[in-house]
Amino acid sequence: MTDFLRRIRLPLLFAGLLLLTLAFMLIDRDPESAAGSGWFRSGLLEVTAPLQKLVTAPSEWLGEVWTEYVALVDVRKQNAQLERRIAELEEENLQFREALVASGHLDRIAGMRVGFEVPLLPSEVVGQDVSPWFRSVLLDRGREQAVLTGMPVVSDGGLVGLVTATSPDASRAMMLLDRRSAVDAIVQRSRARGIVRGTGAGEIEFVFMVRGDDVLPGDTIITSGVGGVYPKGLRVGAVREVHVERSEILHFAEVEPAVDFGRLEQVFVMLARGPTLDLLFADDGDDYVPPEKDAG
Amino acid sequence: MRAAALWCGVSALAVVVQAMLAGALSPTWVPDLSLLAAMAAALVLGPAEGLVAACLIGLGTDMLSGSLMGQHGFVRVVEFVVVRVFAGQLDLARAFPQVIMALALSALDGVLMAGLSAVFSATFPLAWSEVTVLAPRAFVTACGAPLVGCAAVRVAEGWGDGEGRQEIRLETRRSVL
Repeated sequence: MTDFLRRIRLPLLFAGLLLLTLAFMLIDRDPESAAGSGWFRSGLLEVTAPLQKLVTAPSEWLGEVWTEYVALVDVRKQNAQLERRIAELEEENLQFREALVASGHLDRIAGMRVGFEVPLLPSEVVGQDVSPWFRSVLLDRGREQAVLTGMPVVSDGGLVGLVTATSPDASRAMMLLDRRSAVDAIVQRSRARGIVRGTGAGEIEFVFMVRGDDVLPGDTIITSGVGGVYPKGLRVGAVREVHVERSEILHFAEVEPAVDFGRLEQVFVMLARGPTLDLLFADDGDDYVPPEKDAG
Repeated sequence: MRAAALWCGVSALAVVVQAMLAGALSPTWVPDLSLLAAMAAALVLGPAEGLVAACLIGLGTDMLSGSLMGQHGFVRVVEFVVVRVFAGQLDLARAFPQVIMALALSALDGVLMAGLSAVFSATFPLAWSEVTVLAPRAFVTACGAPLVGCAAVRVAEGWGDGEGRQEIRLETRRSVL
């Protein structure tokens, strides 16, 4: 008997490890875990966040030394401030234009502005994904700061992605580049609707069904608000090239992302999630009350 | 056992280095050190401790990735067994076969990751354009295989336990499990 057990010891270990990892995957994909209230993912993020912060510290330090001391200190800072201000104004302008295009009524514009008054929480990117198969970033803000799974993440350039896991003091956000990411979007000029998805190769593309003329190079792509995940009017990117195959129902356009994903340092978490995700994660122990919208 | 524990430590360091590189370089040029660490474990460690080490290396990678927890762990365990199977048939002690093995493992890594993601995440579209990112990465990874193999041999020779210590080489004619 002991001889038999000794003989099957290694196959048993092999099977045991496979089952263990499968069990981990099943627990991790559990909706409760995904919502952030699950102990498993939350605990992992708590351990990972400081570790990854430590890991990225040397390269960040080197980068800082270069930019702060080798490059011109004041000019660079001033330039960054001005760029941020321009980006804010551009975003504001884009939203006004979006409201004008959508309806043409001033009261609708006012409504839009109210809709966009969502508190933004600044957060630092403390780690990148080590796997080539996934594109996510680790953020240094979590549930303690009211960050919940499903909240959109933006930067001064535009939409970055979506929070997919949270712990008390950290969260993980899936970027638009991730192949699992899909955003319902429209072309601002022609209102052509489609889906912006990550290709997995570090790029995003806009998949649409309408005639090719409705999507032209240079067109701005913004979120449509449909789907209840992202609010309407967030800048996603600009069309670089359109590929229209007459024999295909679905056409696609290469999109230049509005955000430089390779240089993400600071992002903002929009502290309100869409109705779809609110419904999905209704029972995740969410004790955060979103700020009341101005009735006017 | 000491060698396996030390190799786990070295592998953890390798994953940390990989994370640092991921923050500084384009994904195309970041070698998959986690995969190489698991491959080296299959070549120099015993089957039991090697299996556990490979699984731990994968779980460590999962912690620094947006994958489901256990996904890389599963893949590394399978890759470990595949390397053991081939090490029984081929001479993986030399650099060139190690490079070829690492290239093959990179492809297997892709198939397994895509398969698991399709099962557990429902959707995981793959596009041909990804080859432009993954092929150079697999090549960069493969080029590092002899170096990581060499490091693993050093660890195993220096820290191997007692009697087994003299025998630890890149063995190529032994049973799989």
